[in-house]
Amino acid sequence: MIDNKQLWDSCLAEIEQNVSKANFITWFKNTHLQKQDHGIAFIGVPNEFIRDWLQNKYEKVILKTLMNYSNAIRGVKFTISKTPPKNKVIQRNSIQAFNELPLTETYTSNQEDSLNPRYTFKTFIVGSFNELAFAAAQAIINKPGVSYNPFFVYGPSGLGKTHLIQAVGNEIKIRYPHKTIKYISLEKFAIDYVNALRNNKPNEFKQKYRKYDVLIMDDIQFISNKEKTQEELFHLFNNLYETNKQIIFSSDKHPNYIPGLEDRLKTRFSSGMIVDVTEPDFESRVAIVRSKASESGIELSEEISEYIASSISNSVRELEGSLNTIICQIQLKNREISLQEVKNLIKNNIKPKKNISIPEVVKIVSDFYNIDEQSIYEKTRRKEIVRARQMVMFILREDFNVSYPLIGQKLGGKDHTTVIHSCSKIKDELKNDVELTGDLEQIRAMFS
Amino acid sequence: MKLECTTKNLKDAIGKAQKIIVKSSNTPILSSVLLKTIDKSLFIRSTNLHIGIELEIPVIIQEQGSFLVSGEVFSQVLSSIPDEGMLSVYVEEGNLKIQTKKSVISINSSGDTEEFPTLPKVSEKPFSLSLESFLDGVKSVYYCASVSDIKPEISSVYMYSDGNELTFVSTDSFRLAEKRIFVEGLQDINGILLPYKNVLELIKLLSDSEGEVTIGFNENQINISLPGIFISSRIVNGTYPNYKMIIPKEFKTEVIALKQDLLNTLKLSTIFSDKFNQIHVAIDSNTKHLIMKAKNSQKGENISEIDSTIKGDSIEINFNHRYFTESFQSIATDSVIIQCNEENRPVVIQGVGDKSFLYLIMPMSR
Repeated sequence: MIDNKQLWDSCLAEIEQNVSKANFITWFKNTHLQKQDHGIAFIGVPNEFIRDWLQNKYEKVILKTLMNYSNAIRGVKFTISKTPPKNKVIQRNSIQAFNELPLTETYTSNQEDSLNPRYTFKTFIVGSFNELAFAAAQAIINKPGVSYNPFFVYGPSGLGKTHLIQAVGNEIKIRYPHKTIKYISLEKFAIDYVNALRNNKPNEFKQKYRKYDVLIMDDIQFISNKEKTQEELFHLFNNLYETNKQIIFSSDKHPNYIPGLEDRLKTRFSSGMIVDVTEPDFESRVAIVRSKASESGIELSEEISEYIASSISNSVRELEGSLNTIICQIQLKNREISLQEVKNLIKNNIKPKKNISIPEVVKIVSDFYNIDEQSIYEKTRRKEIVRARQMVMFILREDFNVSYPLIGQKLGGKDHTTVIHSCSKIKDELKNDVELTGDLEQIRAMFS
Repeated sequence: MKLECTTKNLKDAIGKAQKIIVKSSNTPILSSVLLKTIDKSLFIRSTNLHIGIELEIPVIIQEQGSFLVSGEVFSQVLSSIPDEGMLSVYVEEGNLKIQTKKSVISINSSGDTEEFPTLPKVSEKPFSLSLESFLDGVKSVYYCASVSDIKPEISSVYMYSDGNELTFVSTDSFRLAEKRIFVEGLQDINGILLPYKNVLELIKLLSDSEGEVTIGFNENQINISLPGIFISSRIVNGTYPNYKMIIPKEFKTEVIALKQDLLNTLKLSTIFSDKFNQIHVAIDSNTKHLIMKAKNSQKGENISEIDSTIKGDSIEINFNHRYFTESFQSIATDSVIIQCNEENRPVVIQGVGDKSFLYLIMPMSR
């Protein structure tokens, strides 16, 4: 299928022949095809003047032309989209002498609710990796405290959990101005609690958090082994939950795998909606690169955005970091930047393919299971060692693509069929055994 | 179309309508003005797709109709006709004829009237205030807005409600102006970002009118209407910086001086300021002196003392004198209070006893 840009370009070319040049420049310049959704083509236009006009005068022509090119299209809708200013010359001379007002500081969070106004859904990119979390978030915004309570988002660092939960807060703030919202990281919550105890004001602490209509708590995994804080959170949770106040948590792990978390909290966290965000797929990464670039008023060529998206795969945060380097260069040089330059710029940001030796893997796994490293290589069939050995084989095969015979050879001269058996056994067990899945996740985390 | 009207009414209306038209020849539609009669009025509409205006003038209609005419040509024609008396305007053989006592003028049509854009109307509940207050608010701050397009949010005048006060703010990130206007029964306004360029047009279009303005807005568009005038402008879609956080609450130094004294000294300093417009201000709390100094290696220098009362610590700061002077146009009182902390922290300027206007400048670093 041809992409939206090509489709729209060819439509424009046809429309151009049928309307006068002046009309074309006036109404069709700066329009673009944003997306197609269930047969509806969404056309982005710069402002209401143009939207009204296109809707009244050209809707039929546009629809007809689009239908000629794409069978899927059944209707058109016009939406107003921000057209980012093209990156023109940025005057920077003679400005050095001026200090600027620290306006940028004002983007750092609102005092009362600690929400950062920069995190909104406008800048949030939805892809298959986070669409469930996004949909749940929308449901919560429509009915805070009713739809999914508590809402628990988990996933590796740098994939937009904080963005998502803060955006929910910001959106609720706009839709329901009377609701009080609090965003807090677990760490701050814990410090706050300790301070309240120290100042002998535990009741004030309780009151303070119970008055919120929406409580958003970030990085909840740091609650491990903080027993008193867990207890306090437990009571707070019960109180808010009973009064139908929305509670939102984020964590880097599923609640069942947060070590040192009391069971009564685990079950409570699991009582609402638990969703995970995974690593974005290639298309989503390209979309992220494009949108971040256009936020800074820069248009990157397809080649470059695709290169960036393909070279950094695991974290949106790293993606942003590399992109910022490139944007900075473009602004400094004040011109388009070539693919080669981009490659040079971000070569340091790209993680080299993991090079890890087999003994290292063995060490990490045996450390995890708390057994002697050497025992993995030995011919023993003690249960705990067999499990660890199978795990080593599985990881070597799945994560590092080591061949079956080589794995066998390195782990004390085992036959390659033994290795195949071990791998498929772990694979089978992973389907049912949550504990094993958790172990694997934790071990994998130790490699990165 | 055939009608009669007073020359002055038509001249004023066309004069306004043609201010915003697009002058380039690429878009003949947008360099035109639409004339259209409805009932007993002539409606005159023009737009550049960022802002649009529709003016209504009372006329004597002989025949209803509409016509599209080049704004530039029409206004040039009208400006060469004396103000007095009536004009007869009619369409004949596809041309617009203007008949005065002495001459008949014929202007070509610039297109099909059906091709002319409509002005977007918003349906949300409007609020109203006196035009005088609205212009006071806008004019008190708009000169601070950033003129560059890089950050559209700050290249605009920000309007929001704070209790019963309609608050206007602009900043170019070097200085910031805030004006509060009391409006009886003001509804909640979350924030409207009026683009700077459109604010300039608004001031031009509205400054000789009076009465109540009614303002309605949605997330993309704002409608401003007065009797006989309807303006529709796009608004910037974005978040304004939470500027309140940077306004200092406490000050180490406070200086009160007469506005006129400061202005006179600043005028002198302008001659000698360097290419960065820099002036040096020394506030000495021991000797109670406020001294302004400007030095230019080619022209010379001046040192002036200003009578003032000084509270707090001594401090020496550098300013861009232009930023300093510009604030005075919005200060109505005779004396001003200058409040500062350290030399690299924002300085607050206000009229003494007038809390409705607040001006913030960032000192220069050398």
